[in-house]
Amino acid sequence: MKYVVRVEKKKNLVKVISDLGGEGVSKCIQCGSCMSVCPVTLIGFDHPNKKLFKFVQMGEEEVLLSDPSPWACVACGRCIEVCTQDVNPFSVYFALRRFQVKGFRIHPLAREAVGSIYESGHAIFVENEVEREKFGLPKVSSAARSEKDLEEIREILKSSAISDLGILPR
Amino acid sequence: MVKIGLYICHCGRNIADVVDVKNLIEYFKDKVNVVRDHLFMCSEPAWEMIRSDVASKLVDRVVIAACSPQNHEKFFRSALETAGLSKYLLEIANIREQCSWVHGKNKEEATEKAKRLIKAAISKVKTLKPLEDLKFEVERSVLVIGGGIAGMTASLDLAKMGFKVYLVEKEPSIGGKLIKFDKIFPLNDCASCVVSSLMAEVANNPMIELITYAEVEEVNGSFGNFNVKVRKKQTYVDWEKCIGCGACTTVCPPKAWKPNEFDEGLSKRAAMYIVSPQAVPKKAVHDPELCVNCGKKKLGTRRFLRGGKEYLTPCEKACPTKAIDRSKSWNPKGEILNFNVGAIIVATGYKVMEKETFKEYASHSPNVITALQFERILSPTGPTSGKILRISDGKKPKAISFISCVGSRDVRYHTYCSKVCCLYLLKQARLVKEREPDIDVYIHVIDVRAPGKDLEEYYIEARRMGIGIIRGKVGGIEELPNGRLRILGFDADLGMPIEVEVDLVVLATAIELPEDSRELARKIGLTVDPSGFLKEDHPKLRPVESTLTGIFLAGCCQGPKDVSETVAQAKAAAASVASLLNKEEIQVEPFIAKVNEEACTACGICENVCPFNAIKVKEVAIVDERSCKGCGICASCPAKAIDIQGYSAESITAEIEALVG
Amino acid sequence: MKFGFFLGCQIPFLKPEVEASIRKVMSALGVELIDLEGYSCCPTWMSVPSLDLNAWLSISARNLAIAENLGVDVVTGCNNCFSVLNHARYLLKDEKRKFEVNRILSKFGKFYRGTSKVYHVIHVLSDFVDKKELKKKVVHPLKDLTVAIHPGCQLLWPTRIMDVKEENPFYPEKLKNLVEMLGAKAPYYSRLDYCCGAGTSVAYIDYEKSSYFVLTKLESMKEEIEPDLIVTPCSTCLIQIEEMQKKLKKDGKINFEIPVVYYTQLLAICMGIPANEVFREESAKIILEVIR
Repeated sequence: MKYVVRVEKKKNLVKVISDLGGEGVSKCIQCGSCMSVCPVTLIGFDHPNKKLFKFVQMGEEEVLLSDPSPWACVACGRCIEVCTQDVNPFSVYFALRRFQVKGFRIHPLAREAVGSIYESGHAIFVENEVEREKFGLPKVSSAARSEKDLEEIREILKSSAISDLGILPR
Repeated sequence: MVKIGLYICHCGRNIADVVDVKNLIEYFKDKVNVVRDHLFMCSEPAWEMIRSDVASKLVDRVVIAACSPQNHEKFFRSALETAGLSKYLLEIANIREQCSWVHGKNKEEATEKAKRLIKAAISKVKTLKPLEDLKFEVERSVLVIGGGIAGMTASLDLAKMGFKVYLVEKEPSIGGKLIKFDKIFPLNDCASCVVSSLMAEVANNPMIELITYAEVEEVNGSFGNFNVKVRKKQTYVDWEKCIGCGACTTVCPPKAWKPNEFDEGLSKRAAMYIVSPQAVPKKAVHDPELCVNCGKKKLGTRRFLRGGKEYLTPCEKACPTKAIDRSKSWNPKGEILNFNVGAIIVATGYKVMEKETFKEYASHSPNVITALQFERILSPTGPTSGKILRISDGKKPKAISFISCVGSRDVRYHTYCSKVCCLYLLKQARLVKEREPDIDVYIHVIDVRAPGKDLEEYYIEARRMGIGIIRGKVGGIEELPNGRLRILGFDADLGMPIEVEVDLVVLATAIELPEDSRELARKIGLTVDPSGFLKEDHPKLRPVESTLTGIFLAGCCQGPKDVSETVAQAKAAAASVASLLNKEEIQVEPFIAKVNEEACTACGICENVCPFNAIKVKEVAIVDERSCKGCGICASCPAKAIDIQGYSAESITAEIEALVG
Repeated sequence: MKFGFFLGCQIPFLKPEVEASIRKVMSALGVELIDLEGYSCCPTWMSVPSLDLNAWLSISARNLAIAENLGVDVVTGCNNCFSVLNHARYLLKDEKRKFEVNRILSKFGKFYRGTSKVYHVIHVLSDFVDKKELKKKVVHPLKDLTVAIHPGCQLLWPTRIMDVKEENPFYPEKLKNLVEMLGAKAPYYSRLDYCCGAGTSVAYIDYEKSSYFVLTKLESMKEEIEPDLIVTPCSTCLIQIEEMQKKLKKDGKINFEIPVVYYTQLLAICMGIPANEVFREESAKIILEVIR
């Protein structure tokens, strides 16, 4: 928690966040409707969405890089439905995650999930063919069972900015 | 040879920051007779500069490169006229709105575009011929559309100045929305006291012809002499005989009831009804769609009982003056009235958005109402006689939440601020607190907007009275099983979400232009601006003029306003009308269709295509100068026999060739 | 009627009983589900979308391209997959993004057009299957049963990305109607549209706080409608509510436990499909007791 915001030379974070998919951030007028329905707010995080949007508009890089709130987004999408200015708060929140990732602040769960997708094509993967057979289910037809398809997923990840993060297995 | 003067405006930095004026001067100096620039071409010294160039015969054609002709064309024309030249030998190249303002990022190309626009204007001005204004006699009467506070104020002002006024109102009574209110800010004075006396004055003024329950069907002609067709709707009651006693309304059976518009649907009214206790004129109206045809007696038929006695419906029987005669075959379309006026004031008012639009606010609950509905609850003439009760169960609420910006300041609905909601919510909240101090009252706002005299003080007083002001837009409302409502709010001061449980929710839904006003605008050719309201001619300089000469705007049809502003605008509109009509004759721009009688083959196509019925074809096509609006559709004449003066085929071709060449 | 069946991760690996119920119900209703060969994670919010926009859209587009090649729309039983894929479809309406994604997909001879729509199992049952046919198949209707429905956030919002929408997403009707069609009551309770707290990650960031969501929700339904059963069409919500209910009971915050089922599991039973084919043994016992 920051107690004083010292405004010095402003950094243009609006452009940075927009480029990461949070195009609407400059439109926020701080009306508060997203906060009134946001589960992350209800759960009591220090810097829930609109507060973070203000930090973006003010160019406060430090808070944006370190605050865990964006990682708590449950992706419910209700903020998009109630936003009065078409900010698409949800997308800004995810842009903030990507912003932190660029600064090598990656939530361990995300790191694990991406690793798992690289390994098996699935964020959650467990061997359960015996159990599936019990329910009379066929073998899962996914990339987990096809080396060629898995290679495509890996190629997508490797050719993206994720490869620079050093989290993909060599 | 014509001598052309080119005058380039810097418009402070508006133009000169983007368009390279020096470059333009250099480029044009050999192509015209005189080139001059000025920091503000719309200033007096610049005007004098143009005038003296014309007067000293240095130039006899003028091209101004400046802002839109909408702004100052008349001003520049006057320089030519004063110098003794036809004022229509002038052309404006718009290098501000159409160039510097929109191409700020690309200065070089903007300068190139300015060059082309000026070249086009020069080419056109060469082809122009001297023209004279058209002169018409003036009809010293005015049509005012809408009988709310704006229409009534304007009508009375005009009547006092000696103009005959036709006041047309679509409802059976005048009074507008304001008559529905209890009190009005900032003095909390009685709305009825403000409006009722005006209504009586309007009704009794001999210069005002009150035409209620009527709609404007058609407007033809132009400023100084409009021809107006008004449809007086069928009431099925002889208003000459009706004394407004209301006897017929009380006997109309409950089967024929529906939600009462005057109470915003909170009470019921019968098929036979009088709008309100204060109605002016106080006359009964019959709603045939609602009528259940008592005793199987249909409109326009007689029915005899077995004994040969004629059957009378309850309403007929109840009427002491025999004003209702259902056996008479009334014309369902009513009656068309036809009259001429010199000017028109449109004062058709506003509507508030329906609550049903806002599904996230549990709008299906009867305990979620609009602010206009709450005005009726507060009003002594309303369904609760001014007692603060829920309509759903007649109980006094323990807590009420007011929610502002519902549909306003919201890109999903209207981006504008409805302007009056903050203050009327404060007023309603204060009235609740005054009458029932034990009711908890909350107002949810994005921020409180109370600018101007007495209004901030009004807001501060509301806070002192213990009204909870919660800064933060409400995201949703949930209905609890006991009928209470849970507000999902946000408190910006606390920086926390906030839940409030209340018994009644009042939504300040956005003010917008009603659909029938939009229809009227379409009929008479008014412009609706992007906000959805009627467009004024210039937001600063001509705020009460519409985009059509001779038609004026007053009140909320032009944009959200409070009562004081509405009255001010109505008075301004009346004064503007008077300043124009107080003349023997009026001058009108000559940009109308002109027929070359030798070329005309009298084929009749122009007569068919003219949207204003301004052309009649006999031996040749004849243009009615008063009705022609110069739209140019007729200029598509196959024999090329019609040109629009000032915009001839030659002029337009020259202009286009210069633009693309 | 044919759909590409997008299984996702949770349903096939953690909740095969839910998969079984969807397959059985659909086949009984004559809806053909085609397996998508070589599909991958949608990818879920907490994975690739949190790290890189392009990689997310490419993986989603790759999944959708598989269905496009079969010429079918997609149906999924997981709210998360439904939401991720539809968000991706919405973003890929932007030609520039679409071009970038296809540049990557072209390496494997794949191409994203945007022709296959993405539906939820609930949408197929409420909007595509003939209501009378469905009703006919319900041979064991429920009696005197009060159900708390939990549609799950991602099935409701934002409506702009969906092809089948609730008329009022804040007071949703589709799941309610489907439950009532089985003969049960599904009354409204005030926190019906509340998040279960699972979402992408709250549970991992703050387990305690995450349980608070379930608690709020349970208290609202218990107090307002006293349900016998909770029905959800979301595998994530199903797991979260089941798990958190146990935790809350252990912590002494609640003294009841309401069984939670996936909608098609309940539908399967009403259609006469044996409970042990769509439930694990223990759950089958509990559920049969509740609906008897």
